[in-house]
Amino acid sequence: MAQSITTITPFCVRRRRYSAVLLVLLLLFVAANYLLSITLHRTAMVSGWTLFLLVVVLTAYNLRKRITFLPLGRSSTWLQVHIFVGLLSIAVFGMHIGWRIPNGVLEVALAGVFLTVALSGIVGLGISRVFPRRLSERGEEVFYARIPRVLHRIRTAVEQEVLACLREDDSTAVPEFYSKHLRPFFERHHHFWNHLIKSRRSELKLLRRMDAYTRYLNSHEKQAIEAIKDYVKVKSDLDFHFAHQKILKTWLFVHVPLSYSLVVMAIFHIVLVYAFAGAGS
Amino acid sequence: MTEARHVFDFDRGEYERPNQQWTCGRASEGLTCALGPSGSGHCGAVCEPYLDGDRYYCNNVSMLSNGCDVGPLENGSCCQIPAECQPARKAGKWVCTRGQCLHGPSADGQCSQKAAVCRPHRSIWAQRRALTIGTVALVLGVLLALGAGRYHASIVSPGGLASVHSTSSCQDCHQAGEVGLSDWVSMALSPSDRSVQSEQKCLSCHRELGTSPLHAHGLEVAELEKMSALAARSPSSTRLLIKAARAVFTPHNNEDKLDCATCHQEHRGRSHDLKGISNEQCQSCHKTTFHSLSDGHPQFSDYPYARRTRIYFDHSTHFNQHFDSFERIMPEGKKPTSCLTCHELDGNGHKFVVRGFEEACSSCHTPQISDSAIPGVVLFGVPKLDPTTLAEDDQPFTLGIWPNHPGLGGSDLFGASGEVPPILALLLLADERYAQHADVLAGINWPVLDDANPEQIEAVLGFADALKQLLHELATGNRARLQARLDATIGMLTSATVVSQLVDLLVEAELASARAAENWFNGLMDEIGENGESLRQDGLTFSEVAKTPGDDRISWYLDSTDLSIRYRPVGHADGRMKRWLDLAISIKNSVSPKTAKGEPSVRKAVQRLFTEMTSPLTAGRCTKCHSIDQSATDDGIAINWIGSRPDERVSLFTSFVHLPHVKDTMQRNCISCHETEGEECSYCHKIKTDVSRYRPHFFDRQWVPAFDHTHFESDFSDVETSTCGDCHSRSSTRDNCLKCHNYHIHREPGPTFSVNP
Repeated sequence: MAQSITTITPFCVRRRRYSAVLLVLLLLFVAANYLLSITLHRTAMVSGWTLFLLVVVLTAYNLRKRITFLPLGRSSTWLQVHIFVGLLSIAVFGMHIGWRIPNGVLEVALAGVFLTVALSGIVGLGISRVFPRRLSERGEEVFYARIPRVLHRIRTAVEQEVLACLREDDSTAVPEFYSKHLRPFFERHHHFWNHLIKSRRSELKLLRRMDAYTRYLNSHEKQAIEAIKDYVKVKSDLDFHFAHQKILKTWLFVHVPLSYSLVVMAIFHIVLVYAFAGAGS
Repeated sequence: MTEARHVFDFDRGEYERPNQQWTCGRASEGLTCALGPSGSGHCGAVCEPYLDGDRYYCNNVSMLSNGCDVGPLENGSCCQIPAECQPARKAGKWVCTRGQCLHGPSADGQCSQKAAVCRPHRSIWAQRRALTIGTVALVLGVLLALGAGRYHASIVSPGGLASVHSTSSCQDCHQAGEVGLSDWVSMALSPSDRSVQSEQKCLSCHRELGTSPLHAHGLEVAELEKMSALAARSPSSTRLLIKAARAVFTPHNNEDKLDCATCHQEHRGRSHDLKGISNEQCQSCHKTTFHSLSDGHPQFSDYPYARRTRIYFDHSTHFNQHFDSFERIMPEGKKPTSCLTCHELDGNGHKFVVRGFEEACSSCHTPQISDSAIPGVVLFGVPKLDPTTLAEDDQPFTLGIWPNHPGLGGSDLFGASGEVPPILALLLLADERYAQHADVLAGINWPVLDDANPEQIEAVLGFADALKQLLHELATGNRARLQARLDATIGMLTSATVVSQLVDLLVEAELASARAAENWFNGLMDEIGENGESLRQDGLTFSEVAKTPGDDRISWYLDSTDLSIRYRPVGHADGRMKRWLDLAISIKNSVSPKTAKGEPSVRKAVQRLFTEMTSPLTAGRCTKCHSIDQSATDDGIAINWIGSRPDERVSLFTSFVHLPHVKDTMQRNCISCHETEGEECSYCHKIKTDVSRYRPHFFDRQWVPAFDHTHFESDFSDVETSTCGDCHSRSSTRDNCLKCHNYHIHREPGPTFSVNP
């Protein structure tokens, strides 16, 4: 009898624990916000300051990665706290603006920046869960910083094969094919978006073209083409890794700068709120 | 491809520097050196051989570590610097001169390996940091520029204003709107009085909010405490939600001053409801809590009749008695067919107001106003003096001309009590000849002076002289003299305006006074000089009283029966009568019991004037219907000349708009098609059958006006809560506190004490 075995990993336990805490905090805040509104207190001030503190805590995660010499807890714990505090801040933000589109120019900009940061964070969270699994499923893992030199080595190896054909057979068939069809492929990364959707169409197309060209070659050249086909597959895997790691690195180019900008805009917003306090504001 | 991509051995692995700002520019070629770029982004592998003795030595650490066996050249240059290829042009093509090169020269003849020189580039982290710093600087710069710029108001505004404030600018409501960006920070850090100043800006426009506008409901703390104590006794249900809110977060109490923004949230767009507030928010401060109007709302105790009507009208007696015996009592009267005969909806549809006198009351009450059987108000009167005592043949008293009074015994004005009519007394008290002997004259029997002592006789003669001089002043319209008289008496009590207006009234009696002088004192003008000096001859001459032709006894008229000058209104809304009453009340208001100004005799005359004028039995019978109210904030009183009218200055706790309710009631009772005018009123307003309890709220037993309008029991039954709850139920959208209640209470501004006609 088949019996399904469910394995609960420590990661799952931690995620459930944080989710429960998030839910409790969220309910507490919603209840407090409602009760404050009933008693005619300034809920916008409470939610506003709460949101600002949450944003500061969220931004501090980036600083935490710079301060490695202080025992401030494990980075993975910080990341989990960052994720759940980020989700909590979205709910607090919604309550702060009353679940409506702000009216003022500055308010719209502030809300837009917050939502962009939040959305980029959610996207980052999603790709950081999906992409590593994809990367481990295809080809050999490679550091992002080393991808250029691996590409260079692949290209050099392919060129050696091509030069060998030229030297030994005195034939230009393979070099010409390389120069016309393969050189652009090996010079730089290709088919970025295709790799992101896990499409191998372009790779297979190139391999088919190489197979079709083989009939015009002698045996030595055929061996060279077969060797180059291996390099095409390795290069395609490298492009796959490059595309995914590029995204993994790039989303932070949106998330981090706008997070700090958000803090600056929030401080400006707070100054305005206090300077213009009263009179129905 | 089987070779390992990553070598992690310490001496063979490629040195990665992801945390540093710069990375090797040749890393992509696999030519990373162990030294790496410098902190400023320059290649650290540049070899600059140094000369030691007669030989150049290599100083490139990276090359040494990689094993540079050749060393610097003889001329001191590095052996690793690639000799630049000089591409040659053959058969129209650029070819490499250093061997086979797959890339070959570029189309313009440049060596493709020229770019092999290391040019470090920023690491990903450094790129992100640079972008972060740049973005933050850009955002900060944009914020500062916009905040300090010309259009900063539209930039910092958190949204559009509600339509009622749409024409306001920042500085109209915010002190910060008057200054610029540089002051906002300091204002934000010193919030002590900023809020107060902002509220003052609100109140500079909203002046109708009373003396305690920031306290709950705009009421004084003491009044709030009093109302809270009353409310605490009202039975009501308890809402756990509100109870929890109070337990967790302290609600506002009676002493708290509430910012306008506590309830009024601005900058939410033109269509935002500035007055929007939930039922729970209302109840969070209240002692009593309940779920809805139909579930737990306290019963109405005195709604909608919190005070007596301004115009005295007893619905119960009229409907249960008068209208039943209508034809006998008021033969000219018209019996109302419905409530709408006498009431009409005001222009806004808020309130049913009483129609004018002509439409609602005149058919019955005009005869009462013009009833000639009621004598007019006395301005001047001549007492009947004892001819036997004063005109003894041997030694007549020096009195000059005196009318041969037609009155009999005590039928004249002065009668047996000898009391001088109040207006006359106020005028004569300025004359020493009367003022000094006023006490002696009290109770004197004017027609029979044979028992009078010499002092009383002297007082009578002095009074008679003073009276004739007063008539002379009235008959000649001597405004200055009359003004001087009143200044000497009530001038100490009341304002110059009141005195002046009273003089105006007296001067208007000039014609009647002249006729009195001519008819009763034939030759009076010869006895008194232009400056008021006496020119009379010795002795006493009784002149015959001439008949007064065509006396219709309205307006100023002479009453030949008691030799008096009187005023009687010509009809309803007589302006002169209204002025008399307003002046009498104004003077009375000035004689406050708390102040002891004025002579006792003057104060007594003022009181008598007020009593006479405000009696419902006085000519015109004004106060029979027009009630007199005591002001809630002042010691004064005033006549309600008109019935209740909508007043924008007044906002009570409860408001009711009749129009939609009347329409709704009509539809629900199938009246929209069937003509039954006014029947819908009785759905809420039910007249009581007990007819004995209404009048005492307006008059005491002696028909003396009662002034307290708050002590009142209506001749209508109170509206039941369930009457409203039928429609305003919990499940409907109309079950909102603000549907019926106002937050800002503007008390009735009180009776108007203006004496302007």
